[in-house]
Amino acid sequence: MLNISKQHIQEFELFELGGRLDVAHANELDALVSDSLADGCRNFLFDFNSLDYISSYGIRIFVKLMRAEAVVSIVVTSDSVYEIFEMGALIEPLNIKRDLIESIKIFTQSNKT
Amino acid sequence: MAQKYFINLRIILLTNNYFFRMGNPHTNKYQFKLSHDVKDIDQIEHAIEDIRKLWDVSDKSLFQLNLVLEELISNTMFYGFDGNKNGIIEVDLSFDGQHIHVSIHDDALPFDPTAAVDDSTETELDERKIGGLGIMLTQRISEDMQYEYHENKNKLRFKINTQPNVEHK
Repeated sequence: MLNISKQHIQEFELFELGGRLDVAHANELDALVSDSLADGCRNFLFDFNSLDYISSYGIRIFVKLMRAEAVVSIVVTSDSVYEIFEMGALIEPLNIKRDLIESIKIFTQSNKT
Repeated sequence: MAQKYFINLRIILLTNNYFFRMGNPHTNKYQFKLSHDVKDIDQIEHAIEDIRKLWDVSDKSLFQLNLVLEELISNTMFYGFDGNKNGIIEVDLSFDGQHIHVSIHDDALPFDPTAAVDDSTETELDERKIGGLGIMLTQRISEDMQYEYHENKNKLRFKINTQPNVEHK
């Protein structure tokens, strides 16, 4: 099961995820993210605080956003999930952070530039 | 202990075919079968939850086992059967106290996951890298991956080290 909570904060769209972002559920997040992109949103913050599992099917959604020239940041607290992004050399390109404050800074900095 | 064994001996009826998941805590072996249908992919999650109860393996190792099985089996389901409506994927797992030994047999089209993919650590997100991301993660997590195509079957074997910082005796 994948739990998704979506809300608009001033500088970004916040997605809080819980459960499993796998081949069976990635399309649920993909649909919501695609809607936000179509609505003109360009800043996406994903909070993985309650996410237990991710596979490449989930990771592709974030890469797709970057290719659409959106700004992405992801808060990852689970060591196992963080290690998967490390293996894929995706920590830097996807702005993977260990806490929410660091992730939010990505958007406040991008607004200043 | 006997009760624990029988709880994990399950017969599952799926789409008019019988598939099974079977675990035995005495031998540290676990087997399950899936059809070619992607709807069967949740069998992997059920297997991981069974193993969590049977074997003394960390959450991190179970995460890695789950990921490797999902990447390999979903790839076979999506691309391997090409109209064959009776495809079968058989998974055999065993645990020796340090390594989880994995064996996957299927009657899909030949596919060798040990073949080289873009393994660079560059930060560019090019198409080739993302397309092969699942297989690349699989290669990085697994050890001693061996593939052969024999008697019209893909046969893949590898192991996952559950204690990478401990020297095996």
